[in-house]
Amino acid sequence: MNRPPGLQGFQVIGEQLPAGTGLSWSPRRLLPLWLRREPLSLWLAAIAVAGAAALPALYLATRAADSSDTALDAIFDPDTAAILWRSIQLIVLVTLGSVLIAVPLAWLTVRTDLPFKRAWAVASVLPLAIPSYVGALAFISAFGPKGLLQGWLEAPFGIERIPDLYGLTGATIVLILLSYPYVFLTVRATLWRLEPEMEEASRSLGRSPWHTFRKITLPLLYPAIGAGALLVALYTLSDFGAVALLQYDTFTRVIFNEYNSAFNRASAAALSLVLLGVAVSLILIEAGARRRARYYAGANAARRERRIVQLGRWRLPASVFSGVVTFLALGVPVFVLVYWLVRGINAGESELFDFTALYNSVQFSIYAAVATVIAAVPISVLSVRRPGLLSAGLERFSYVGFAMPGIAVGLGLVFFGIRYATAIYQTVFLLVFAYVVLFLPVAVGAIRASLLQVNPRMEEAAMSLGRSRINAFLTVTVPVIRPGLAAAAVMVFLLTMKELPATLILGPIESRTLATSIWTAAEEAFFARAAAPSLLLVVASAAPMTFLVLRERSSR
Amino acid sequence: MIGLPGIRKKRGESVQTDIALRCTGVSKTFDGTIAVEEFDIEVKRGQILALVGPSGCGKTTVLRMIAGLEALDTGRIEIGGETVATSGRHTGPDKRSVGIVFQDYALFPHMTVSANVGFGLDRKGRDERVVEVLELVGLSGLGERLPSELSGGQQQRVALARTLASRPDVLLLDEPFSNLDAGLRERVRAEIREILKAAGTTTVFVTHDQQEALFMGDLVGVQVGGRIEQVDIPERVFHRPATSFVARFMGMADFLPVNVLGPRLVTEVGPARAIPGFEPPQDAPLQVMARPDDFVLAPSDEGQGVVIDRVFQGWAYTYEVELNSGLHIHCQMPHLLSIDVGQRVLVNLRRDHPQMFFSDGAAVPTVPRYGQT
Repeated sequence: MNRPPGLQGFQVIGEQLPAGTGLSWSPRRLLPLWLRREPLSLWLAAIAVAGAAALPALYLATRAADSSDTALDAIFDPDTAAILWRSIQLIVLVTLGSVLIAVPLAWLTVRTDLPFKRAWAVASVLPLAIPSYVGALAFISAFGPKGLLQGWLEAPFGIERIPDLYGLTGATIVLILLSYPYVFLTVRATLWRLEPEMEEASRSLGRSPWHTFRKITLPLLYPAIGAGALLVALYTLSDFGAVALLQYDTFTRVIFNEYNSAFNRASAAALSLVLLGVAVSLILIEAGARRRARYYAGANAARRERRIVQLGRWRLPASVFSGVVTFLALGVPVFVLVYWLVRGINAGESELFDFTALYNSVQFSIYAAVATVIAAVPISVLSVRRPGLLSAGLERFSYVGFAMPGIAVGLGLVFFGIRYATAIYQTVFLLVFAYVVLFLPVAVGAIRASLLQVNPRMEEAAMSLGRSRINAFLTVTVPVIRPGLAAAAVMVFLLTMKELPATLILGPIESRTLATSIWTAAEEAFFARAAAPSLLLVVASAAPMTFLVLRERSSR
Repeated sequence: MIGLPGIRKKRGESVQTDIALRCTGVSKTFDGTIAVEEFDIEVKRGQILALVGPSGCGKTTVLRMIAGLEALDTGRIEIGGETVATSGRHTGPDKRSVGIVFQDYALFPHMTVSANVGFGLDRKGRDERVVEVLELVGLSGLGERLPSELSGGQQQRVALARTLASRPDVLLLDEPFSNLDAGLRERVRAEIREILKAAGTTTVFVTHDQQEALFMGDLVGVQVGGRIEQVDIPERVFHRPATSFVARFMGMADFLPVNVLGPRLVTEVGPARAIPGFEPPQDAPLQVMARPDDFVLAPSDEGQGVVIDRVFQGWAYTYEVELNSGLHIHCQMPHLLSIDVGQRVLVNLRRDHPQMFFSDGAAVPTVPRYGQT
């Protein structure tokens, strides 16, 4: 097309003219109009990414179908039903427990005169920085048999046994303490956004504060509680580290053992499919619940400082409640890790810190962050700028990682690698591929959110001033969404640093990462060796999280 | 009204009195900023008071204090003869017979229209009352809808119905029409005024729109800087403003210096006419207020002004004229007469009615801030 560069932007309009108006023929005319409006390459890139995200699930299915007898046996085995039952018990208990802790905490830190409530708010989010295997390790070391607590009780009181931590009890407690922040964050965000007028209207209609909370505030929080509970349920379902260390046989632990020790790959694939099915059911349940509650809390943030509830004589109990939760979820793990680190240093332990593992972790995480952000851009752009069936479908596909536990993604890619890509099997490429699939939803979410803030007219203005479409995107849109891109990259980086099951399965042989070396140390109860890398992971994740929580305040 | 079905019995039924709402010396300070200062008002049963003022004048704070959503610092608020707030005592919003309709309606999004309207009612007789009130606001048959399925105007009426349902002694409306588009607004405010009058509800209504205040209010209160400048019937607030602020705020007004020459009051645009017995202040500058329709323009090369701008408004032109003294005035003339920008014009004051005079920002002779109501 011999158009001056300045007119490139009008390509869109030109393409819509009827045939025979003088424009040269191009294959793009065969495409439907709505597909033509965005450069084809963008659509192709988005489709490729969505396809790639679907790959692990596809290969799990293929692998299971290949030996369908073994697979079917595994699926209908009574043992599978038992695993399912154990998983469901754990999910229900952890979700309920998280809601019961998180909703009061969120309300206390937003609406009341709880002393030091900003500090409590930060402390209530920080458990997210603790990988589940680190949390489990800390609890085993503190409260397990021959643990610190028992040691302290033994000398003065002669207590030789404390209630057993392993199994459902321990897994429930540890997972509640590590995952309640998901509910805390969603409920807190909604509490800030709720228009105070709702509650004021109820009060002026003659209703008491308690009636108002029960009939107005709480129902308006249901969607937030549901969204947070879904995150907790999925986290519990996909968790590998905590259930494995606490010896509670849920899907992830059984699948790993089938694959790793029994080398029964067909049944591992089949169980992974069941696991995926459970995850998808959870998402559908939440989506169904949300559809019934079609309302949304007012999008416009509260304009006025809302009335602060005076706790009065409830100040002390409320403070104690916040204190106990923070002590258990944050204090215990940090204390235990520091304790072991100091003991290790004092004992002159060698190999306290594994710099090779740190180097590998950082390297893989940077690859993962860059690759995931690049992969997320086409889907994010299309879903924001060209909302429609295809872009919505592509966006859905990118959410596979949300539903798919790391162990299932890892296994799916193992099967794919062994059969079709031996060249990259057990190399960093396939591992980074797994990270991209797992963390794509996080990146798409962050980039989408920042793209929604960009007025598309800005790009059009740039094009009408003579910039090409791609140039306009790079010079106008990208600088504006840079904070979103950066946030996406940081989140993916941190999640990759902590990721365990996929790294265990797909990691190049002999290249330890922080996560896998903590895992090895923990499995062997080599607490001193796990302490330093664990503390590093926790601190590295805690820093940006603190920043995010504090910014929540200043942005209002 | 006692004993009707569905009425929530508020603590201490109103003492019989003609005054539904009385605020005396009410003041409120937020973090050192005075929001409301020495606010006095009296509203009789069934009256609609329109509080109007520029944004930030504290009118919404007044509403919130009457509703009990904000505590006052000093002063007293009485509703139906019963004191609900003084500096030491604060009756909660749920214990006052006051209903408030918020600017953005604050409908409960998770409840149907009926459940919203019945929210403040006791179970006994609730359904009947809901049907009755929905009919009053013209929304019969929409009870099972969710608020999100209604138009802006309908949501507004649901909010009103919800508040009217429990028959409050005083109804408060906070900028109720600001979320409606212009075309809808005029229709809705006529409807709402009719509903309020039919229900006989004492109402305090807050707006920043003068036209709305003049239309809606039995009484118009002009508020500025946390204080009431003037309260009176709409006509008097418009035609006999107590201060030059009220004059300017309620409608376009120009002020021309007046020379007192014995009995004659002379301005740059000719003599002004005062009420009989007018006594100009001694040794203080006097100004006459003129609204755009108080002037008569005629093109003339001998004129004492030049047209510098012309705004076409359909039925009329508004001209901005620069007088020889440099003063700018605004004159409205029928559209039949079209004068070009740059044309010299002869300007005169209409002589068919007496004008208002001001000295030091206050009307001369003094107009009482609290009119006879």
